[in-house]
Amino acid sequence: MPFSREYIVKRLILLVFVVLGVLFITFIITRLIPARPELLWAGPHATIEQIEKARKQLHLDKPVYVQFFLYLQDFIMGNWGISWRTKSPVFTDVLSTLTATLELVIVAFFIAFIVGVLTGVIAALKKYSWIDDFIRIVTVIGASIPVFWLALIVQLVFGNWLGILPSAKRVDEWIVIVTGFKPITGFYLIDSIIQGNLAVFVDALKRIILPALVLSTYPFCLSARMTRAVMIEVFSEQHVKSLIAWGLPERTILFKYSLKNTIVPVIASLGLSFGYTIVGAFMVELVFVWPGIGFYAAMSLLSFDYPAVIGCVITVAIFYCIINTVVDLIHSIIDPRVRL
Amino acid sequence: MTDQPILQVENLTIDYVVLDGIIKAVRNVSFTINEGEVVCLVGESGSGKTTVGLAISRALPENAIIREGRIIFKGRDLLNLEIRDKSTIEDKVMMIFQDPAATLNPLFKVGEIFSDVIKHHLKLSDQLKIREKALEFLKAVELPDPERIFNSYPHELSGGMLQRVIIAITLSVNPKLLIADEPTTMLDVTLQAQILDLLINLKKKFGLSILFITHNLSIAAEIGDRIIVMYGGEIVEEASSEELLKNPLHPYTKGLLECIPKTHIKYSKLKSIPGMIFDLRNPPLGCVFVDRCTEATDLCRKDKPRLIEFLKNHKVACHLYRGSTK
Ligand SMILES: Nc1ncnc2c1ncn2[C@@H]1O[C@H](COP(=O)(O)OP(=O)(O)OP(=O)(O)O)[C@@H](O)[C@H]1O
Ligand SMILES: [Mg+2]
Repeated sequence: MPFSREYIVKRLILLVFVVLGVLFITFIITRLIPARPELLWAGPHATIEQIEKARKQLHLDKPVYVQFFLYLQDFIMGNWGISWRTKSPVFTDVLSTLTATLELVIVAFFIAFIVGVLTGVIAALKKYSWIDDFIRIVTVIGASIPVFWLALIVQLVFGNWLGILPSAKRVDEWIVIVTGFKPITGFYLIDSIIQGNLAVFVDALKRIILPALVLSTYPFCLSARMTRAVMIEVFSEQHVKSLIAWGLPERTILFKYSLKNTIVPVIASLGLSFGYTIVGAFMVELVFVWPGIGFYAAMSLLSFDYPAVIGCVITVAIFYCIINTVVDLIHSIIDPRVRL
Repeated sequence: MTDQPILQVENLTIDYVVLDGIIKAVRNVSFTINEGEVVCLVGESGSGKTTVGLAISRALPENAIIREGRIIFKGRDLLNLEIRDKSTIEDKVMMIFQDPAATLNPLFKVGEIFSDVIKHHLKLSDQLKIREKALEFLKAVELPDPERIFNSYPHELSGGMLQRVIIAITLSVNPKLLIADEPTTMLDVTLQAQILDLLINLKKKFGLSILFITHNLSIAAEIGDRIIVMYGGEIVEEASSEELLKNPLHPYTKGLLECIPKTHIKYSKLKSIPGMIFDLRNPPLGCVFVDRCTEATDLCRKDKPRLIEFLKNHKVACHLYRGSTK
């Protein structure tokens, strides 16, 4: 293994600090917003006493720092609070929505990586040609389009006008009921394969295409541009020239050797774009009614559901750390000079 | 050594196109290398040595333009070959460079790269045979423990070992002419001597001719049969090693010889030739060395001296030596 146990331990300790920091900041921010969540908690026709009781229940009558420590205590015990909106534990809510988002993000990154690298390689091979110009224009535009706008347009055009693909939800409820589909891992594409349920698989696949494409736009543009730049740089390096001089065929030099040099920085940049993509996922899930953590977080935000919001933010922060660690690990696996 | 030329360079003129003009890096360079000969190309930084080497091995960067000239290798004009002929020439020109660490892809094991080269060059597919062949070449360059080296990544090897590995890989594609561009500059002195010895041994063993590029006249004298001195993109003098050391003609060569530190005189001040090389975008009308030459005259400024065979087998381009016999 190219990485040590100390590295993993160090990363875990770092994770704890990141989580604490994020926890603190989000907590403070949610308390700074002038809203009265006890009204929500108590329900629409609550009496003054009921509202007062709700304030006590939610510790809103105590000073903010006491609230924070009470929350922290619960959080460490694995109790992330009860969502004020759904009235179920935030932890379960987050877990059940997380897989929906992960499935979407993984498919989006997969598309972005494969297609992006291929596009970048083509641009690098044909640099300064019209193809290169075309790719540059497309990727610049793609990287600057706001995700929510793109999501709306794509939904409108492909879902509504052309009607090629369904543009809402993860899977059709009728198909689920009729075929008796039961989620196991929460990744529907995987679950349906495990259960040999082709109908659900096809439907889930159809439904994930549009949101995943929209979500992959930014990382795709990023990896395409990154690949082009790095590859051109790699082509000018001596070790590539020597392979040419030693008479290796072009495709070996390109696909076996140069691509490997190119991929490390591309993966690193994709890892960094994860945060941006998660924000994109919030928008995309809202537009495509995707029952993921973004959808959940957006709904929670709109109803001042503090525990749920904090739970979502923490989860995203944890994933951000995990992604960065994974990027480092991939780097150390590809590059023998890197030992973690 | 025979007097059969393996390489003839005629009137080679190369420009580099850069943003703010055209660098006239090499102008009217002609020389030959005979079979089995070691020819050294000497000159200070920027004199165009590497450019000449790259042109011969047809590895010039994209912004280089060959304006004029012919490079005839084994009777074939390399500059007029179809691109697809490149890989089919049996007798190749190969070049090795100064920085061995940059020559091997850092993400691959030495053995992986070597195997690919052998596989494609010798059209072998049996992994064991390929490995055997590679180890054979690694032994030929006097590397201890070739097995270990075969399984190492480039960063796990020292500069000297890497340079040997690169020489081994380069030899495996069976070159007839080896261009070595300052292959020892990044190594310490003892390693330098070892690599130079190795090159001379390999020359005999593999029937190589060598174009050795260096800015160090004493190294050139040590390993070269013949020395070509370049300055500012032109050849200023050419002679056999002994002749050049004994009887340098061109003021630049004389200056270079004086710069060689004499180790037996302790604490002697290191000498250098005063002045700087001219801007290669604007080469002088007359002699290239005129600005730094103590013996320059008006004629030197106006008229470019031609490279003439002033003494037998000793060419020089300088107006001081006009009474040419031929
Ligand atoms: N790719 C390039 N683009 C533009 N100019 C170049 C390029 N390569 C070399 N030159 C210029 O051409 C001239 C000759 O360079 P070259 O590398 O052939 O010199 P050299 O004799 O090998 O020098 P050194 O001893 O420093 O290696 C220099 O002025 C250099 O700046
Ligand atoms: Mg050079």
